[in-house]
Amino acid sequence: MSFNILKSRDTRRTEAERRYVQELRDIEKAGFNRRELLRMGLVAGSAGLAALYSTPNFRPYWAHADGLTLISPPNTPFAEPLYIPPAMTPVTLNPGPTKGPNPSPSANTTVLDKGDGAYSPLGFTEANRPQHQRWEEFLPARQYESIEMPVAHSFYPAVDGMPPYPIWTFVEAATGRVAPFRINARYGEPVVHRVHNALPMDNHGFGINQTSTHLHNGHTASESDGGPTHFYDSGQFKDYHYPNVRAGFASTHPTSTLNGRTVQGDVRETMGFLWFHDHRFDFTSQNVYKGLAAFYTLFSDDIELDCNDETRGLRLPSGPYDIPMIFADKVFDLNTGEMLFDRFNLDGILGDKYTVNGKIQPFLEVKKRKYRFRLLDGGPSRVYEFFLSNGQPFVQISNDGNLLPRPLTRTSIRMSVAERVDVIVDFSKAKVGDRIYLQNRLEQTNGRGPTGKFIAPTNIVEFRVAGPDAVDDPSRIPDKLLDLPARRAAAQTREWSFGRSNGAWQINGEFFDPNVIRAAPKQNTAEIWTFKSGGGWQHPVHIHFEEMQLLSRNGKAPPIDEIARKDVVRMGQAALGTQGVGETKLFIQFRDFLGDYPLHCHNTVHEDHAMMLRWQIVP
Amino acid sequence: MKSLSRRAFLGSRGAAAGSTAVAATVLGRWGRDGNNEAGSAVTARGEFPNVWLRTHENRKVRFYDDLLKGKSVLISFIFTACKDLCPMTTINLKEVQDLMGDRVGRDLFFYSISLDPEHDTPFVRAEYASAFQVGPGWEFLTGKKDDVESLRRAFGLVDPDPVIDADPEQHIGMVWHGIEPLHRWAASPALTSPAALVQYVSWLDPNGARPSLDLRA
Repeated sequence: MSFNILKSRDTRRTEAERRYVQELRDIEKAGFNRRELLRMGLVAGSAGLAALYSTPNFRPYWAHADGLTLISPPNTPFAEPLYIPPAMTPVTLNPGPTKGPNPSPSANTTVLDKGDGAYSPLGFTEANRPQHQRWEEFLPARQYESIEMPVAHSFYPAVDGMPPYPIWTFVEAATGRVAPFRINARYGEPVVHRVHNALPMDNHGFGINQTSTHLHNGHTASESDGGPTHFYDSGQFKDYHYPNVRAGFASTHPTSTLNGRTVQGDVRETMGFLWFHDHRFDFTSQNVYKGLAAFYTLFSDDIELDCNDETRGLRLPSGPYDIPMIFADKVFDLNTGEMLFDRFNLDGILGDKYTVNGKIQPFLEVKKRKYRFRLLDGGPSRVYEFFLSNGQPFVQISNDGNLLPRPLTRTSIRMSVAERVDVIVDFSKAKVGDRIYLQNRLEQTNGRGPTGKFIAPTNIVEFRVAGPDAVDDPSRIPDKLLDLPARRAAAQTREWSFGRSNGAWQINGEFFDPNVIRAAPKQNTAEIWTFKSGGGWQHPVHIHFEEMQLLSRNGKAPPIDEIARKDVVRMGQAALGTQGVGETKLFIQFRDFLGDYPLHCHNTVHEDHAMMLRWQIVP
Repeated sequence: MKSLSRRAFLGSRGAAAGSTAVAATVLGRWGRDGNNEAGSAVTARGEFPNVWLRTHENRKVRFYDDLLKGKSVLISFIFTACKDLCPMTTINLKEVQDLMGDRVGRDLFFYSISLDPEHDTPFVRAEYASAFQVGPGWEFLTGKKDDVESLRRAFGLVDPDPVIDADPEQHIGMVWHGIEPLHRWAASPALTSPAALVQYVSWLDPNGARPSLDLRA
């Protein structure tokens, strides 16, 4: 097989960009208003700079300010390695976690300074919350501790000389390591994650120091869900209880069996790739953009399935060959390199720089073997269609982080905000020295959604194939992964129609009201929900708590990759290929826990403008 | 415009940039002349146009200097000839004002900015304000067409479809609530229930009420 390798950069173009930026800086130093100069045509103008870029699908979209076009400073692509998210280290919380709000303040004397001041969780008190449901059944076997705090960081590689500036992210209390890290959880080992909110009032222009950490896709009780109205203030912590038990354990499937192993819950509900992120009402887009997001990978070695071990179970690529990536597009200040955010934007926000795990366009040195890449669209509004530059297909093994019935060979993968896909990429046929790129080819010119068209690719990650020529690779691509759970009779059907009235989001003709519960499914029942949506916008609609199985898309069978357990479903414009999807029917269950959860659009800008409703599981 | 020149502004900004990245963020890269005097007008996207407006009591005010700087605000865009959404918005916000009592005008300021400034003279707006029996702390504002338009655009209340955007009856019915010195801004549908709008405003406030346990799960 021969590989068609794209050049990583055009030296002359980079030089032109540098000269242009230098010109702008010189003008500023001289004390002229750049905007006036632009009007007079004295510099090439932002359109000129945009034209210099080879990334036509990656202009920022900042909605409507007069004459305001933002262009980030150029970056040197593929100058720094991809940040490999480290696994968090279990700790012993002090004081230990309790069923109700902890009566004692934090005794953790750690002081961390990540370049923007010293922060300590000592004396923090637990936010008010209901008692943990099923606490005694799932006493925590692993405890983790994070501090949400400012970290001086630059998304640019050091060679570009951009000064660091404060982002807000999770910092591991015990080690000082910075997100995006991962919690490597296992079924059968309940987790408590203590999240201290140490964020300052000073937000450098956007964000709020009130947080609610949502474990996206977690089969967790409502009080540990991290819903949008469950937020708490700086100076407090909250213990999130993740029982790591499969759905159905207290209802349809007290036990079930796979590979000769019998466990609680339905083995076919086994999950793998989740993430946690801030979900503060009205501020999710701002706070996640600032960096409050990390990974949660859940292994199922208890049933010899996804074992984090290449010699056991499915034998998927594991350890150093299992790499999560969060994609987030951003805009940076042309002069300072500071991350900018458009707060006064109702459509959705696009950046002109691709970041992956906190760096713009990183590279990854790979061996000639199989890798498991866990792809996550971290938003706020961009939809991707990923390709490999050499035309090699991906082997997709999950949708929304849940194992598919069997692996799919796919030349490209579309992902909207919050969707997760696990792929296996096999570099064994590449030649040492090859450079292969993970690319986006989906055209998107505004925050409303993609056009569905493919355009010239933008390279996001550079894979550098390294020696030796022969590598021992015990990992496998199995023929079968995990069958879908059985469906059962629905107790109820509901329809949710997403609309827009004078620019404001409505569901079934109503605006969001945090005090109103819009649906009250009975615990341990199943329902069929129908989503309806018009065109002109794309909405990745997310239901918290249990996954859905799509029954139909526009009245037809869903495409093969959506025969899966989903927790985000793309609706509206270019939801599938170039097609809009106006109607989706889905099956969903409400098992094991009680309490309230939201349904919302995960274009976080739409979400923050109240494209949301609350529902509650009742006895 | 206040007197600090762009040159002086850039000079001060350069000094700030030289110290730390934190200091550099205090002044806005995209600031217009005259808007960054106190270094507080920066937003992540730009600044607020500091345009001249007239209140319904015919006072001349500057949008940023007089209405926004240092304040918590609730901002709506309406016009008196608007058939349905604007009166409904005003009735809704009147309920918010009633619920908040004398905090309006002290802790929080309401601004309703006209989208039809040529017709909505201060006299017309005064009538409008009195028809809805709004209390103190709520200004109905009008100004030059271009100035009001720049405010509307600065707050992102622009429909992406130009045909819809040109139709005043389809104008965007979102209200902004913000705490200017803290750079905290959120938008809600103008017809959100008044109780919920009061909650949103409180949640934004560092010392405000927080979601009840029912909402905190």
